[in-house]
Amino acid sequence: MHYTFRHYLRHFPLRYYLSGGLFATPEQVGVFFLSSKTCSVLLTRRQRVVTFEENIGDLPDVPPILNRSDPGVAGVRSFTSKLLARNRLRGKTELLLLPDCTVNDLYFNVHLVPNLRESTVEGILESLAEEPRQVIGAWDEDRPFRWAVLDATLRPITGHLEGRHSQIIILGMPADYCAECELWTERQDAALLAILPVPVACLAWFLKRVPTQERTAFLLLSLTSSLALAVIQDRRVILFRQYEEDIESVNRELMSLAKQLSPDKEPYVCVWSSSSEEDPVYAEVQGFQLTGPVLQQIEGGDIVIQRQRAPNLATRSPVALLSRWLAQEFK
Amino acid sequence: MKNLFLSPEKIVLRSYQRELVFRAVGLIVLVTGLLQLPILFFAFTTWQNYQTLTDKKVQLVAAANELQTKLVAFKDTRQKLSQIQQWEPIIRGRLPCSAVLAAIEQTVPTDAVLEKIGIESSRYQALPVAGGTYRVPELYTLSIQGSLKFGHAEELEAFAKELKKHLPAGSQVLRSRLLEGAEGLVPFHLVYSIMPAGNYSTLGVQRIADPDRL
Repeated sequence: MHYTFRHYLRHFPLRYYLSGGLFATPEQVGVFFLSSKTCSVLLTRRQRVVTFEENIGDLPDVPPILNRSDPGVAGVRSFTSKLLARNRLRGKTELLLLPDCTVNDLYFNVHLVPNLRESTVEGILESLAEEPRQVIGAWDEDRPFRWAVLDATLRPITGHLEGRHSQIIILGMPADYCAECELWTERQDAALLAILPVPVACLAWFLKRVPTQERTAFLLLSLTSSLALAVIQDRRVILFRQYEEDIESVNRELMSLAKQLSPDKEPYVCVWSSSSEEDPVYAEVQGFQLTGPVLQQIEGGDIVIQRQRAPNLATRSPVALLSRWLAQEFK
Repeated sequence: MKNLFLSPEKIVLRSYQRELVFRAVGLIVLVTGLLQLPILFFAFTTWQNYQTLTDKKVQLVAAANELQTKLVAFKDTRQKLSQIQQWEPIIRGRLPCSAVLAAIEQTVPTDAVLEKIGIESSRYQALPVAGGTYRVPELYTLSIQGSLKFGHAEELEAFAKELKKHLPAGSQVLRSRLLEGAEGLVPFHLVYSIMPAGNYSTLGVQRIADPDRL
């Protein structure tokens, strides 16, 4: 990114500075979980959870939701300002959007570096922007996508790949949706930290918080409209697949992958679901369920929301715990 | 994973808002801008004054041009007035002889008999006027000869003084002498020098109106 003084002066954020941004830093982080079925927001202030609101999808001026038929109603005041007012907060807010993407809306694949034609991350991104087929072969999507390249531990990388990385992760999301999210954030008078697809967020959380020792871990993510399977070895993502099929066929593929990648040991399968209720996936897949008390143990307790003139509220919703972890990580 | 899927432009703009370096630069820019405000204010007021003066100057030039245009129509009148003004010293240099005679008549003592009154002009000044040169006298000499009854010779001095009061300011008695006479009469000779000053109020010549300033 090239910064020039002239560019800075031309885009001088006078209004932002004069409204207090020159000296104050945003203290609030809002994490939006956005799926076509359920949407929620977790708001933190100085690392403390202020509120966790569920079922916000039908409220006016909610963030853009992928594959949602109705565009939503625009309110007189922005959603964020009302959210802050409800919780008696003021000031600038940073937002993190977690869209629960369908198979068509998210490209997430692990690539071996020797198989790539380009040797630099910048070259890969340029080729992807020009024509994705130059990098990822089969690509039949007409919509323009925004691309990102991460290493196997989900950290952003730049520069030369050879000798430094054996495999990389290429991520892609529809550019229209990303632009829509940016526009919505501008209307909220807030700053957008990232548009983080739910599988990427879950994997990042899993790599940081769930101990896998030296085992090959299989993480099955039960999302709103798909199932995602990631294989982790030595805290590196070595495989990621997203399925629209039913759980039985995914389970069969999981078993076959487990035989290939971890033939000697019992496969270490973890299941995470965005649903707070009992997900049928838990019953179908034999594995370590990242829910309830397990999550409580990993995260060191439930989320306790202190409310004025009302009893404290505790939640151990997987989405809430994921959102809180992300808010802490991104702050 | 910060900035994931954000456009580079948005990332840069957010950096301008949030990063400490840019905020410090922003503070310097704002403070520098604030310091410029008084200078800008004075520059603005100076410029405004200059504009006002320029506008006024333009208006005055226009008015002057208009007056100049109007003056063209009065060119002939001005020329005639100028010619009339040339006559001013000529008129001023004239002596109202009838008024002088009236003054003598009013002041002469009852015991005196006048024999001869002479008024002569001298010290001429040549004044050019349209059509030629006019000779204007700068000095008049009033000469009075007469006789007083014997025993009233002392009235000559009173007569000389009284007449001097009636003559224009600056008039002087050049001669006041009693001569030798016979048959009970004492002849006398009075001579005055009169400087024409244009003001003959002492002679009883009243101004009709204020003098024309032209």
